[in-house]
Amino acid sequence: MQRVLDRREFLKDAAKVNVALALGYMAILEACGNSSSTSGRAVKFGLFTDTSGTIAFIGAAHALAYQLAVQDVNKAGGVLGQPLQTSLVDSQSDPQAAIPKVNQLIESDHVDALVGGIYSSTRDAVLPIIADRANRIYMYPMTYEGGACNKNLFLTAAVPQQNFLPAVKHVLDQGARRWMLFGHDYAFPHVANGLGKTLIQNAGGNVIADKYYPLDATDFSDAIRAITAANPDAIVNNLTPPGMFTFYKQLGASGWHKPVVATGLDETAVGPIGAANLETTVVGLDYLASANSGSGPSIVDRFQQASGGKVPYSPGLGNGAAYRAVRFLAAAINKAGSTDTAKVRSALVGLSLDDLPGGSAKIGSDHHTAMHMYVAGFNSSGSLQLINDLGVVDPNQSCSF
Amino acid sequence: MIALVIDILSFVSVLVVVVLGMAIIVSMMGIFNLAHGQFVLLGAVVYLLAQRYGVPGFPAILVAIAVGAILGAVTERLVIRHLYAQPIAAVLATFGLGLVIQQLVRLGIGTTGQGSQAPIDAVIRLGSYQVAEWRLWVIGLAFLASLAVFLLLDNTTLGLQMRATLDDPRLARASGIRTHRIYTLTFALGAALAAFAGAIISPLTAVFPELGVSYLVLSFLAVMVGGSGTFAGPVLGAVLVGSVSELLTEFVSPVYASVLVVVGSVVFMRVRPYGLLGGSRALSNS
Repeated sequence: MQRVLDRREFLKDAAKVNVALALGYMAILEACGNSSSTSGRAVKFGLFTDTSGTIAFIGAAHALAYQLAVQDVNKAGGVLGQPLQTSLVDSQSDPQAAIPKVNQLIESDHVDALVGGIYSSTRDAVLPIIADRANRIYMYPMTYEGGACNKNLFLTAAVPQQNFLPAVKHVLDQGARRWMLFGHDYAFPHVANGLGKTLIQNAGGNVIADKYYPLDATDFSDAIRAITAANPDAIVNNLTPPGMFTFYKQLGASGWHKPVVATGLDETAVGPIGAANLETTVVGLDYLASANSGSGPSIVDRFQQASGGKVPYSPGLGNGAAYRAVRFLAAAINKAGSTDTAKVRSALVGLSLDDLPGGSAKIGSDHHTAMHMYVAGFNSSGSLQLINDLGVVDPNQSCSF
Repeated sequence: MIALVIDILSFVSVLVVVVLGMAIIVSMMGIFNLAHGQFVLLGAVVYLLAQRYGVPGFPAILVAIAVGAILGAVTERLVIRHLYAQPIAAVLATFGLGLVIQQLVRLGIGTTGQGSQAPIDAVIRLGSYQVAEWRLWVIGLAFLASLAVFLLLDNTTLGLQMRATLDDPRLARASGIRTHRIYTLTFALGAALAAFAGAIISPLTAVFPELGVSYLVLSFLAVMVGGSGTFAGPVLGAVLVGSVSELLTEFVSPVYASVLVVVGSVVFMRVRPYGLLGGSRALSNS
């Protein structure tokens, strides 16, 4: 006899199935323990960067650096015995847009730790959410002015003590005494130029001008007039693109041929600025193609291959730091044997990795990263040449926890 | 001193061309074209791409002007024409169009910025001051372009029809002027001027997606200060806003200078709401 399924019967059965399913899930969850368990669920990193908007060109490179780092982590056995999983979201070059994206990573994607951010303002916007409210580890991978301290925040990029001051020191050692400092009007140039000023004055030099421009400034005629009139021995350029492009063109046309110290500039800037205008520029970087030609394909080649040449590797824009952030986080979780925030935090402090693109790096108790640094200058064809191999340089930050 | 004069001239002359393009559209149609800055960007991009395909400098500028004009005409036909009755919607539409152009540029040439070559690559010495020869050319070309636009408006039948349409569109239509065609041409002319400005300044800076943004803000101030509804007013506004913003950097930090320009313009508009030459033909009446 065929049983006729009426509505009431169906609902009853459905309810039974639901209860069974729920019990099943509960059993599975019970087996897993909580999210910081060592078995069962794969570890998942929440990655956020700016793949659209004004700084999409930096975000695209960071996203690629994350991708390559995840590949390398998984090739070496993954995290806690399983392939590392990631969830990547676009923070749209906008700190306000980053907040819901980061919330989504934490609340919907249930990520174990987060890596990302380019603007300092984005970092400041999401830090309380990640580090304080959600109590997750947050790795920040962009060159910045230093001074950000939080027990759950780790910073894998260079600070001025590592990339800017060594370049200034090199030019000072060459005998430059009278300096003019320029920057766009935000935190990094003010802090970096302030540190530079102290270094120059302590070395017996003289800072004859210290000038800042609105972030949207694209005309630097007054700076060029001042430079021509004062004729200093060296200048500091802590301007950012796109304004920096105009500055360099105007400087080049003015006949300037003495040293310029810059931060974050690398070979990717030669296209818009022109090799001739960069010939006297000195920078400090955590990677130098000519000094890092190890065995196997270099990070530069891997960027080239993975993006079809569209996204060049830019050490000056924190690409190496983005790669390092994922590698350090994965290594720390493996070392801790758990994704528990407190355990990962202690595992990160003092953690050292050797097989990184620019050389070895180590996270210190200040949660910043000591890394191998190079002072380099551009040659007439626009490629960077090593001036000074600094070895591992300490970030000299004063965070304590 | 000579350096300051050249810097002011080169800054003001480009601003005048950009503002003239914007003012023609504002005066004729009562619409602030918020995509105007992106037409500047477009001119720079077309110039850059034309150069990459082997077009020499000066013809590349002509290509940029032509592309700007065509896209201006297309924009008017496809978008603006349907929104004359709703000026606010039209302004929003131009804003959206600007975003589209900017994003297309990002997709097309990337966001890092690209360098273009000046048609004339030399420097000129003036005492201790050395300057790119192209900067002097830019001053001259911008002056010629502005002159050409004024001659067009004052001495040609088309110019007469444009002024007639500006004065009273209905009467102009009744007199047999095809005002729709005039509007299309006006928009094309405005866009072409912006593209021209973009093409000539790109070798002095670089081609990047935000190129047009700073010009848009200053142009807006210049039109407000000069007064819309006339062609000469915004040009005077551009001269005033441009020279003041360049001169101020001699005395105060550039950050304060940029704020002072905006504050000064707002105060000026309080005192003379219709601008320098606005008279009674303000934007709201046109």
